[in-house]
Amino acid sequence: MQFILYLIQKHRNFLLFFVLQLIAFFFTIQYHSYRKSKFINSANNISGGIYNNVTSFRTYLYLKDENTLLTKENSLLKNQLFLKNKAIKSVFKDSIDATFQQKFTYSPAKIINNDFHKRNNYLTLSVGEKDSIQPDMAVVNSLGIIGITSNTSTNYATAISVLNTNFRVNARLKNNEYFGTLTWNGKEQNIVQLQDIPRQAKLSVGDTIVTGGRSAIFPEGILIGNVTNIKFEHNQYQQIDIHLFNDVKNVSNVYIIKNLHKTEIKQLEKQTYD
Amino acid sequence: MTKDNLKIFVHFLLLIPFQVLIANHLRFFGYINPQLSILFILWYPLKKDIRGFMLNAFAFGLLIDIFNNSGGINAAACLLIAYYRLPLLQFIINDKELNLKTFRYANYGTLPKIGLVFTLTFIHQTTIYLLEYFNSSFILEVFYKSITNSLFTTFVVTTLLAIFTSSSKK
Repeated sequence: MQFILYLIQKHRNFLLFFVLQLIAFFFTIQYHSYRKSKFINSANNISGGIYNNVTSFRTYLYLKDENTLLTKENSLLKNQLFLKNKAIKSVFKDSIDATFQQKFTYSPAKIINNDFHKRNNYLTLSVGEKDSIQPDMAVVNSLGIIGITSNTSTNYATAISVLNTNFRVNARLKNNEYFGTLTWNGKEQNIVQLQDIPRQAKLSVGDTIVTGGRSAIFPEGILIGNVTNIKFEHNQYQQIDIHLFNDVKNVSNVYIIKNLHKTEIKQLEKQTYD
Repeated sequence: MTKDNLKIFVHFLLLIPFQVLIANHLRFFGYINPQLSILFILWYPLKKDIRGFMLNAFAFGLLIDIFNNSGGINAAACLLIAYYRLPLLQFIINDKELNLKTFRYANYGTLPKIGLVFTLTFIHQTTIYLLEYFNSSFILEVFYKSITNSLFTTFVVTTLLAIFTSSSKK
């Protein structure tokens, strides 16, 4: 016993080093598991608050670009309003997508921190639980997908960016029903990859890719990007590169989409599998 | 609060916001950001008892991780270079009987300083990229990024060391 105590006393620096490294390693493992970094994330009042203050200053520099984007979106929405012979009950809440029969609510948010130079990038958003934001909600803007919310605090939320090697979303070709999984290989910041597309699907460069609607997170038909490179070998698609419509490096105003039927879908699926 | 503690507190207060709000957004060539955590490690008072140093370095790294959403990557890297700072310093300036109390960076030439900063930065950066990629098939990319980032950080940190370490303390 005394010998053990002597050993601990002698190597106490190394022991402390070892224990602290173990803790750091535990947090790192959590960081690599998909959306499990419960403790170490920027959705807290201190880091969120600091990012929020800095962003409110920084956004002034990009007001012109943001205004152009919002005007374009407004004109697009106005055109759609005129085209649709439907009475829309409320413009702000409970929009019913008539094409795909899904029910979603959109709420506005601002990106207050945006990483894109790492392999696993996250966004920090200016909205949180008090704005009824929960994990697993879609983050989009008028140009397409941006991410999925992961952790939330009262006032802030973090979202896993489309530029994160753990990001997965169901995606399909706009002009037919073949679907696959959208991932990012961590290399170029505007090119993502489409995987698991069946070989009989006819693909050509320039084809538009949209969300597939097979997940309870993204509505069907949200824009993603267009095909820039196809590698077809051994009678299979080896790699399909998609150029994102969004410049994720430079986004500020976004929408968060809540699927009102998500709990119902999840419950039903759970019952079926049980 | 002793003078040393005050110094550490001020470094926390200045270096963390500078790293997360400015340095992390520079992104030269898309990914090169100077790592000012090295300055925290270099400026920490030299003592034989390094337990307080390790705890502070770990906390410093973890705070950066919270802002970066990066798990415990920075905490692990800062802790590692904190643990090996003294042996490395003794090795690089070739002085086993280093007087810890009177030690000043300004008392040594540019070459040993660059050597020390580069070695610490390279260990720090390699740890960060290895933990971030977590995949052996990207080993070449990890080393390429670590070396380029270390070279840039060494340049920035040695310049800052030269500016903020006055030679009058000799």
